[in-house]
Amino acid sequence: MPLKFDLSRRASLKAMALSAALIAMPLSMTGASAEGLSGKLSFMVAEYSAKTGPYWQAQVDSFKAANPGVDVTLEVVNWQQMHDTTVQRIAAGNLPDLVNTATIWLPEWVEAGAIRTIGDDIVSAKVKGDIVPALLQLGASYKGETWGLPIAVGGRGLFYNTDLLSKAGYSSVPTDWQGFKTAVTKVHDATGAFGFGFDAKGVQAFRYFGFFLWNNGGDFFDADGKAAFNSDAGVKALQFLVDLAATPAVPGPTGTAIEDLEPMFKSGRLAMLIDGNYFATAIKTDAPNLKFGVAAVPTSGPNVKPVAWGVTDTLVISKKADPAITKAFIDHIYSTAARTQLDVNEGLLPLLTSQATLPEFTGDPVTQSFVAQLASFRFDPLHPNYSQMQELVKTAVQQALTGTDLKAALDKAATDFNALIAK
Amino acid sequence: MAAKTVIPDAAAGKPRRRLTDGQAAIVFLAPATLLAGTFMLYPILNTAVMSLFRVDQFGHFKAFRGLGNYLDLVGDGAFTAALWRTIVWTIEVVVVTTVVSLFLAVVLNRRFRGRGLARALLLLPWATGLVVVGLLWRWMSHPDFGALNHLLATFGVTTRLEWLANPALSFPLMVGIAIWASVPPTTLMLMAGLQSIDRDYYEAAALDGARGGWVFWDFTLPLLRPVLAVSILLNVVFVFNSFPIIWTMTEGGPAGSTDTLVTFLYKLGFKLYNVGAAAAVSMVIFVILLAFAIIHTRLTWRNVLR
Repeated sequence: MPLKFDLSRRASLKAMALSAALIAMPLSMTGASAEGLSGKLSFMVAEYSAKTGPYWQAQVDSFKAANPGVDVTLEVVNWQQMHDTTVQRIAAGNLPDLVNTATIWLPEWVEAGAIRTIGDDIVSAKVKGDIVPALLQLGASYKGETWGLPIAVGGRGLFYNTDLLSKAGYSSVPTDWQGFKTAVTKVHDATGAFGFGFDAKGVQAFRYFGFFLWNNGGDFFDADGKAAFNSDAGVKALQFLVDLAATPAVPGPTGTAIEDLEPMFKSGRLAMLIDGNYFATAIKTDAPNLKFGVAAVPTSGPNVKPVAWGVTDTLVISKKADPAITKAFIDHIYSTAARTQLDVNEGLLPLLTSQATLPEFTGDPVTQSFVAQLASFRFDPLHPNYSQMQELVKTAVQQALTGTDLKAALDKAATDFNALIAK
Repeated sequence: MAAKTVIPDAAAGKPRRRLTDGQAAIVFLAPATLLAGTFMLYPILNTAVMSLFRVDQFGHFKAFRGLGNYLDLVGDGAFTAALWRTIVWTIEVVVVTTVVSLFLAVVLNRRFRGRGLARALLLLPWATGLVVVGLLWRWMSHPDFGALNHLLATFGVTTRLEWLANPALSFPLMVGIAIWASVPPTTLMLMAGLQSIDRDYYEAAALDGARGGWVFWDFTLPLLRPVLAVSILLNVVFVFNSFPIIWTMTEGGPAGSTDTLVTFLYKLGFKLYNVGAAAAVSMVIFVILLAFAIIHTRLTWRNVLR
């Protein structure tokens, strides 16, 4: 027998009121109301250039104008302090709701339990659908989950001075190591300029080893997350760099960081340099008459598929963030117009499919060559001890370049790393 | 019976409150003690405790290690190398700084044309922050665009010296820069000391026929000893702990070959996130400097009071 409800008019009104209250409750808890959003949002961004702060302030202002009930706090932090500032905020339990972080640090924030995954409650289908799929799926993927949205994308390539290479008889950069080393020496002999420069001094030192490690089929970590950079592929890659550095065609890598090499390239003192796509913008500003091109980093041989290194920064979301307000803010800052302005300001690659045909990105052949590689970029492997690996590999590379047995140097770095992660 | 501090009441002309000397001492010392306890003693104790644990970058204590972090340091060649380099660095910088500053202080204490300009120029390196000094010298030592190699080229040295790639060049260069940055404050301190010496001594010595070097060795130097003692103590502490010049120029590299204890500590704590081990290095530095301060103070003040 079916249940029979016999409600009086008064009881019906009570039930309707209760239902309305139940429906309204989740809305008010997430900051949404009939009048619009209300609540607070804190946003910490990394400073890419002098344009970064004003850009984000304008974005915040326009969001606040559209959502007067939301109080947005913007904090611009220098990149050098970004990691440690984030650590301090997590330790103090007051991580901002949205944080612009380097993707390689993301596992640290995940392991600390400070950030959340990207769910439908926080990122609209429109934004998810517009981001280049490879960037969304691979850029911030860790332990099978996606922990953020790409907020800045760059690629690395081999910049070459066409005039210097031409004087040495080259119209393009050789694609294998042997041919590349010959070209480096020939350019030096023919022009007096350095053939190639790499950084074994600064924070990027591990990356220059990594370009040759990856383009020799090696990797930094094995499947268990232990050190793999001391494999045969790693030893051969480092040997190649040590051999290059021993020639007079390469400036001392342990004494020259990337910020020392860039002006050498712009002034025609250096023929080849691996750098980010943003370097093209700097060349056009500082050395508009310099003729240059961008090529793939050479591989150890024809059987190795060239690897283009993509670098992303990620927008991560604190577990304490209000989903409704966060979703609205993300919708606001991931519009095609907002992203394009940011990318042009900072010399970044477009990360939305809706930007692909814009003249800002199709008009320049160098940018276009990087954009064409977007889908095939290989990103930094995500590991909670990535920063320690960077430092240990840098030390090993420096030891090898200053006379220590390179296999022993890499093995020690690997042993130290494995001991570190075992604790 | 304890002596009492009497604070008269101006309006009534009667004593308003009576404090014993002991109570007055407590009242007057309490703010400083509270501040020192909060901002010095607590961090020292916290660091000492931290050095006995494995601590992650978020400050979470993970496991008790006892003296494990200290024993790891003893067995670490990079630590012992950094320790000896720090001692060499400190001795070289402090000795040369003191000698040069003493000479400059004596010269600048005399009246001569352009003395004001010379004093102002002397203060210039001091007015520049050490990070800026480090960055400036880093550019000046660039092999291609730096002023150092250009200067050498004018003297016929055309070798392309890579100053920061080779520790045999970079370490002496950084010692020189540290001296250059340390001389102004030391000179200023010694000049103040010279000006506080009573002129009567010199007039009496002149009447007795003392001249030049004798006056310096027999009067100036002994009378300047208290100020010299303080300047040496401060310089040892500052130079031993000096971070910006080495970090901005070489980051302790290549391969740790220019690391001092402080840059070594920084790498342990903020690059390798081995915070417990970094705390152990901090305690080693603290003990070394505390021991030096105690020994130095006892020796110098004993001589001063003798």
